[in-house]
Amino acid sequence: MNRDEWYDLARDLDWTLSYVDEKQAFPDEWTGAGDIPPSAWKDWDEPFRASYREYVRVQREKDASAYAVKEAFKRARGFDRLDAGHKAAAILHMGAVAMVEQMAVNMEGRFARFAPSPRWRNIAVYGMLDEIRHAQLNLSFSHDLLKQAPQFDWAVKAFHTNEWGILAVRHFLDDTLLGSSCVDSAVVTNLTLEHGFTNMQFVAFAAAAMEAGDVSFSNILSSIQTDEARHAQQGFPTAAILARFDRKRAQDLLDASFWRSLRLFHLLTGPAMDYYAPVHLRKHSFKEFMTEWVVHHHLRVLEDMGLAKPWYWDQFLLSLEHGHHAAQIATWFWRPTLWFNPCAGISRAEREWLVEKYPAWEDSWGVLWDEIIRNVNAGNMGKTYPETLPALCNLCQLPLGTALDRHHLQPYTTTYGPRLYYFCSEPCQWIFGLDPERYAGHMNIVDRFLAGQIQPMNLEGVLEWMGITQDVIGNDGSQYRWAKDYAR
Amino acid sequence: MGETRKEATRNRLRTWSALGELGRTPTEYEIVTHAMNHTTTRPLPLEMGPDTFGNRYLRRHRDEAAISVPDWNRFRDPDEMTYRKYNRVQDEAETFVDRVLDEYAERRRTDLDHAPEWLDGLQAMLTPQRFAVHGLQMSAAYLAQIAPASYIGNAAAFQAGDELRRVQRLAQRTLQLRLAHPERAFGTKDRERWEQDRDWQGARRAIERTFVARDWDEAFVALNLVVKPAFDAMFLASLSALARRHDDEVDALLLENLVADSQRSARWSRALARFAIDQRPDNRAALRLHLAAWRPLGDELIAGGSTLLARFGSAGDDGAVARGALDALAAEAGVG
Repeated sequence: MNRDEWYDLARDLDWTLSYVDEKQAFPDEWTGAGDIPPSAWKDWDEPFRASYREYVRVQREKDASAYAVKEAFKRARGFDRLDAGHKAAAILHMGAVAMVEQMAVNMEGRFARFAPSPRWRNIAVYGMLDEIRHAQLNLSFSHDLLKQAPQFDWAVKAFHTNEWGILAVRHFLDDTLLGSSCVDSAVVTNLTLEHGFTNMQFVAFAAAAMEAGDVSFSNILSSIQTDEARHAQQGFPTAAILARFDRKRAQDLLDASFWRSLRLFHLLTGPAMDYYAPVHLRKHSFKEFMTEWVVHHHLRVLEDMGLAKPWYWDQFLLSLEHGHHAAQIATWFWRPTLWFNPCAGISRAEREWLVEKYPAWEDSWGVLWDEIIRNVNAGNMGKTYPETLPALCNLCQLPLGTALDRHHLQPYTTTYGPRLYYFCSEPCQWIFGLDPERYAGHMNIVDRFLAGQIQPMNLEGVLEWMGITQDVIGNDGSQYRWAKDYAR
Repeated sequence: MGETRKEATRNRLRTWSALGELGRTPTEYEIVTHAMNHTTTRPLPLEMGPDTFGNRYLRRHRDEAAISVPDWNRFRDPDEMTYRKYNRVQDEAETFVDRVLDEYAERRRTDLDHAPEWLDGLQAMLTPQRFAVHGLQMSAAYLAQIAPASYIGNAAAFQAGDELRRVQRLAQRTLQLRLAHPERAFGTKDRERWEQDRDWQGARRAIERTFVARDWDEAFVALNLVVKPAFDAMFLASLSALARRHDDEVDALLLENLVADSQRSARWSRALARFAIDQRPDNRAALRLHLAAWRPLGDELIAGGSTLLARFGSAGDDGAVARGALDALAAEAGVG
């Protein structure tokens, strides 16, 4: 039997509800159809078809292979010998991503129940299964490495803590994966974040891991990506229908999700690519990667939908020059608040690479690192540690001043109700303004600190509140060896 | 904060800190399933404003449910289903069904041998199930997203996978029957039957009602202790036996094979109810209240189904058998 011959019989399964109210069965807060007429959803069609029978056979084979490689590498105890930069990237990845995969199971479950098309509801069931696979592969990998690096415990623990980077990730992803409608989630998560950002980043990361000698991790990342197109594709037909009936909503959603994804990437991907990855193995800079893959992809999507480039494009281009360098120095400086050991990535050789790739780097960032280097070489380690919390953006939760560089420090504030809100950038402020009720009730870490929720009100109290224990507390990944390059 | 001090204080973790002191090696199932819902261990589920829709919904329909236990992460699915195991088990089951469909329907073309009365029966009872099962699939997915622990949510997700499997196999049978008997146009009137045939309305009403059971505990009882087992008893188990009496081996074998998926759902559902009662005996009363509210819908589903089967030659005791199955499940779950 040809799958195409019975496919519609398995997916055109809508009927008119008689025993419950349609709006009760499909509340708009979960469905998200808004003003789009019900008939519009008949055109929803997934680009990649799959049968359950093929799914279980193919996935079984994939897992047999992925787990075999993992077992082989586990026996070889190779993780110990890997580069400090790669270790940092791997531990960061597992802490920030393993739980997100499980959250995506929940989101796909939302699609499978509340999506306005039965075809979409079906595809989402594969999505649920895929994301269980991804969560479980990540957990299996991380658990194997617990004895060698207790920081892998954060593959499970991270999202149960108040660690600031995790709260930043949660502010975005608890919203789009767990608290948004199907239509919104499909555009923000499947289309933008998954297909437009992480899809490509995982592939790049897999290649980098292989170069660094982490065969097992590389294999898992690659294997996970073979599933991605199947469920990430849900974004395309959904966004196309949305763009046809509500252009403004489509444009705003795509613009907001692109910026939010960028800020997430500044934090999670930029430092790993430009500072942790061994310099002689770097195939591209973060900026080159983003320009060639992410930007190119996003612009094509917008063009296909007849939508415009984001209004903040010039600001985006400038942020591409600086945002992740800001994240790097911020996360390194606040390294005790991390569950992994970040690499400073500024030895002479690495610095040369940075300057070549980012002509403005010395003026914007080098001068700040020089201060740190001087203190390290003078033995003033205390000055290389923070004493306070930085001010944070009330949207992306990242420190103010980290969207651009020191020459573009500019306050963005909004008064809404009784409160004053701070933003790192105009796009973050704009996103808040799109739906203030969605964001206004949230308190960022600084708000909570000032409200007395973190006790004692000092760095020690903050570390405890964030769940940072002695066995994971972050320190420089190379034991400050790079400082010798600058010693007199 | 030197390296030496960190090494000295390094805690040699044998397993996740979240698992605590197990006193034994964790199973693979526990390693990949434990504590993977971060929204249940804090007063505010989502990192959003407290009054946003998502937070209000989860607090109201999940965290404030009538049943509660100290820690839902202590629940274990008796089948210890992981993704890896699920695909292994289902790949084997699907291989069996492939062979059945290939051998009987494709090679021997047994669909051509059926009496007109049985073809009427297949049009009335087999192919319209696609709609009902799509509904069961939707409600299983709801359970997956509203469950208070990943141990429960994952089991419900696999159940949704099972229903997708069933819909696709039914779709394939619909196509095969359509090709064997083009004049009957199998499948084209299924939606109409589902929406209008008197004997289908019990099932339709029960399934549609599950779409508005929002509280996670009610959703669980409604779907997994009443509506799904009732539906499966009639339209998998009893229908399979009826098919065999009509010499329809392909449908008998297919439906029998699908019963295994249904039994898996019953196993973890029984275990979940017993767990809830063991952890807090007061939970029994709350579960029984839900059961009392939903059982009449289950009985109506069974009544309609048994009338349907009786039209096509069943002995007429299917209803009693199905009601008995529901009673047994409730008893084994500790809520009978």
